[in-house]
Amino acid sequence: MTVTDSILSVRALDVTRPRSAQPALQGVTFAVAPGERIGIVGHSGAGKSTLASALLGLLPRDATLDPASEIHLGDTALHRADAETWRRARGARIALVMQEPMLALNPAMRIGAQVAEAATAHGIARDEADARMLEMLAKVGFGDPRAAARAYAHELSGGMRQRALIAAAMLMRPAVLIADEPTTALDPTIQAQVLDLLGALRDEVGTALLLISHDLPLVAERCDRVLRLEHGRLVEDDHADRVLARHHIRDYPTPSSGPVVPRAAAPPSAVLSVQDLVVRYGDVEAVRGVSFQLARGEALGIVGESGCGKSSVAHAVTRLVAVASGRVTLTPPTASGHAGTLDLLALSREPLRRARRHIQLIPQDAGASLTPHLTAEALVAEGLEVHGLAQGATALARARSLLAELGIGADLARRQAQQLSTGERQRVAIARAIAVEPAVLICDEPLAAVDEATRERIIEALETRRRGGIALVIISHDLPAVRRLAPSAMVMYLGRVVEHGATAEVLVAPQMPYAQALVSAIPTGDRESSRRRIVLHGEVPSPAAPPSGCAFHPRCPHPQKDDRCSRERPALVPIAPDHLAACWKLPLPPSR
Amino acid sequence: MRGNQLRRIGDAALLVALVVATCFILIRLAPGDPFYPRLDDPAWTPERAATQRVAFGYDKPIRIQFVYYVSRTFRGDLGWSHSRNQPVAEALASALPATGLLVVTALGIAFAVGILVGAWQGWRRDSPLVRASDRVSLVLLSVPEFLIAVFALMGPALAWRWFPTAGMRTPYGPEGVLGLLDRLHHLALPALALGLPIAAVVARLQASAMREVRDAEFVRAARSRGLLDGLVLRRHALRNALIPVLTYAGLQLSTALSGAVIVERLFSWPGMGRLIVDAVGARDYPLVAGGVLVAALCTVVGTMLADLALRWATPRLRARA
Ligand SMILES: Nc1ncnc2c1ncn2[C@@H]1O[C@H](COP(=O)(O)OP(=O)(O)OP(=O)(O)O)[C@@H](O)[C@H]1O
Ligand code: SF4
Ligand SMILES: [Mg+2]
Repeated sequence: MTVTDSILSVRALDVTRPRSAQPALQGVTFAVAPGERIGIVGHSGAGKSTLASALLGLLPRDATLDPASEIHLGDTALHRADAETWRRARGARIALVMQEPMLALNPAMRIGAQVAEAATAHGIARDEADARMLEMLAKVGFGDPRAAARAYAHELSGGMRQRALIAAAMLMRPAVLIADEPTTALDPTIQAQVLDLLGALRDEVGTALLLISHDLPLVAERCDRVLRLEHGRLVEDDHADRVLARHHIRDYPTPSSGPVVPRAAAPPSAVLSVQDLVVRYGDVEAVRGVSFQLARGEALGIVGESGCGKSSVAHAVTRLVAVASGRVTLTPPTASGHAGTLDLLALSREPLRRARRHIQLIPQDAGASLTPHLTAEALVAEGLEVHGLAQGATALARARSLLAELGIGADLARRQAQQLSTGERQRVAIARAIAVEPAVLICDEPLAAVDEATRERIIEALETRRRGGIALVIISHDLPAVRRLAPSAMVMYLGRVVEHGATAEVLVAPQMPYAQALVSAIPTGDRESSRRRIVLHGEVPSPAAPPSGCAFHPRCPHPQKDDRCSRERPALVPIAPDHLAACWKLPLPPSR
Repeated sequence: MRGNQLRRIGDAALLVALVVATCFILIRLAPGDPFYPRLDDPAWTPERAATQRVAFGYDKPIRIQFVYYVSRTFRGDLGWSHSRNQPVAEALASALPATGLLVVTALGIAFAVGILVGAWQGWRRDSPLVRASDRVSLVLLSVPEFLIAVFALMGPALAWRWFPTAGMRTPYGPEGVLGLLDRLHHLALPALALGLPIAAVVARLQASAMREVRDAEFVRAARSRGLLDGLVLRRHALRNALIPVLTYAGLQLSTALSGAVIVERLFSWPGMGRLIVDAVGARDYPLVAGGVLVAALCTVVGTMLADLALRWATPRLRARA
């Protein structure tokens, strides 16, 4: 492709950072045709975001564009342009949608003003800009654009915020739109909505789309061509299907095998049993009656969109938040000197401290809560010493070998927590919890913020522990990982369990409409399956005012949904052996 | 929302009451009273002092005196100033406007200069000029206001005679427009001496907030929309960077009031600071207590104003309250 018929062409793009030896980008060359959809993939740190910044002339201060680099936007040679030319291009001809919609919106400014300024910045009169803003807000899916324009960022949900930012980016109908991980901060179901919106706007306006993501299947589904970056170099530029075929490990068609655990009654061997758990924060009922049992060596995955109460379950079970009602019992191995079953909710301070050894929680963002000036090995050893399992040198040695298993070598193990990356800290937190050999291990988003290789390591370490007899609870947005780790799974919606059963059914062929939408939202890289995707309409309702009847009814796409759905709440009932679901429209098994 | 406001007002009232009570008790713990022997008072005799003590209730136990004091204060009677021989309220009323003028001007200077300089420092962080100005504000920050006041007196006022050294106006000076200028001329040095150290604090806060906001994602997003640099600064960065400054603003009023005590003395400014210092020397309890009450009220009002400003800048807070 020549420079003239491409809308954006980049040649020998070099970006250096004076403080690091390695260039951030090196010799990146590619061209984008008008309206083309290009995916840019690569590991974290590969240079994806630097590329986006360079194309917008917004490189951070510590990075410089090599003078020999060329960036042509249409017939403008941006690499030679002055600040004013850049400014005029930004927002008008080349626009950006960023990763964290909450951070990308000014908290003190109304949404409408922030969208409209994309037009006024380019000389469009105030009235005209406002009119366009309202029209665009309607187009990106705000039912009441005027109300949305008056709102502040904190009054909108994550998906709505990202829509607002897309409206701002598309307001001037730019020739090129760069979306830098536009959906990583969003729930799977909302993710699909937002990506569909981007695609639809692209089709309408004819904008070329550069979709940056670490998620190759997601990109491959939505793009024609994929560029792959590695250590700042462009190592692949090919048809999306071919890149996908070369790199994607189809890692989850066969769910993990093992005992399946939705049982009405506690099995005699249950280590953890939770019954009718209710958690309230003020007026918000975050968990509204959750029950499950786990025996040695079993694993349960809990999935559902953000705010459905997954973490609250974990916190309640480990008594980090108060439980409004319900019953939680723990039966640690008898060898540990505990007398049989413990009523966790009734334990006083000291017995609770001792019981904690047997039920460990790795909280969401666990890495962030590590004491920053302690070394990784000291942090892990500390856990052993606190529970009197090992002391001094023995504890340190155990800590080191555990960390090594998770890919934290001796070198890293001696670093202070604050000197480790997010992913490394995450692993230290996991090692710390595993070290004390609990009977139950609850992991809240153990795989967030880690790259592919680390992800494998963590999954392997957890899997080994489960086979060794630990009972696992895995809370995650990463459905493929849950499929691999947990033989049984539970889907939550607004504080309630809506489907519960073998992972092979619940997360592969779910029955309840919400679970179906959630599972269909997993990107597979396969365009066929993306066409079959169930895209939910409407927003996640507020847990403070859950809808009546079946809480999912306002968004439910089921063709036979009727009055009953909004009046009466369907109970969680068996629809097959070891398979529970809550929906009026599911055929019940013939009664015995 | 309403309940919240009411609770805040309740808290403030409680605070004022506590301050006044503490002050009353502390001052009574010090030895002496207004009728102690005074070298400069030829009319002083032990008998006369004793009668006066009885007349003003100073012979009663402290508890009783406190109850009297509280009930009088509630009725709006702040008592009688012995050293000035006039009602406390009158003495305070005569000094309040002078202090008000000084403190408000000083705070005006402090916030105007501090916010502008700080915003500029934070925005253009690395130029040599920024580093130089940063050093100046560091110096100002670590120097107590009385030193600045002394230097201001020595240089511009005493040595070069650009400014008057004392008072609010030239005695028997001009009236009308010239009179106004004369007052401003008198006000300039004390207000600067009081305001600049606070300006330095504000500038530092503003600069560090600005540096942070500068790198915020939403500022980058605004840039990516093609906004002019100045507009990004004014519309997006400044207002969000004001938040730490506003959080801190309420405290500045009390800093300024306590600074005023010294500055007023040095510049012979006929305000509350001087009044209270003199009253402490003369053990004029009712006057001291009255002064402290007024200062506490001012601080509370200042904090509330700062809180309102903070709400304006943070829509999120508005929603939560
Ligand atoms: N400490 C708290 N105080 C008040 N409300 C809370 C608190 N913690 C959680 N909530 C609310 O309770 C509900 C459930 O939250 P929870 O953290 O359990 O969700 P989650 O499913 O873990 O979400 P995510 O996937 O984002 O981690 C949400 O509406 C949340 O806003
Ligand atoms: S009960 Fe009705 S609304 Fe709820 S999931 Fe089933 S069909 Fe949909
Ligand atoms: Mg959570």
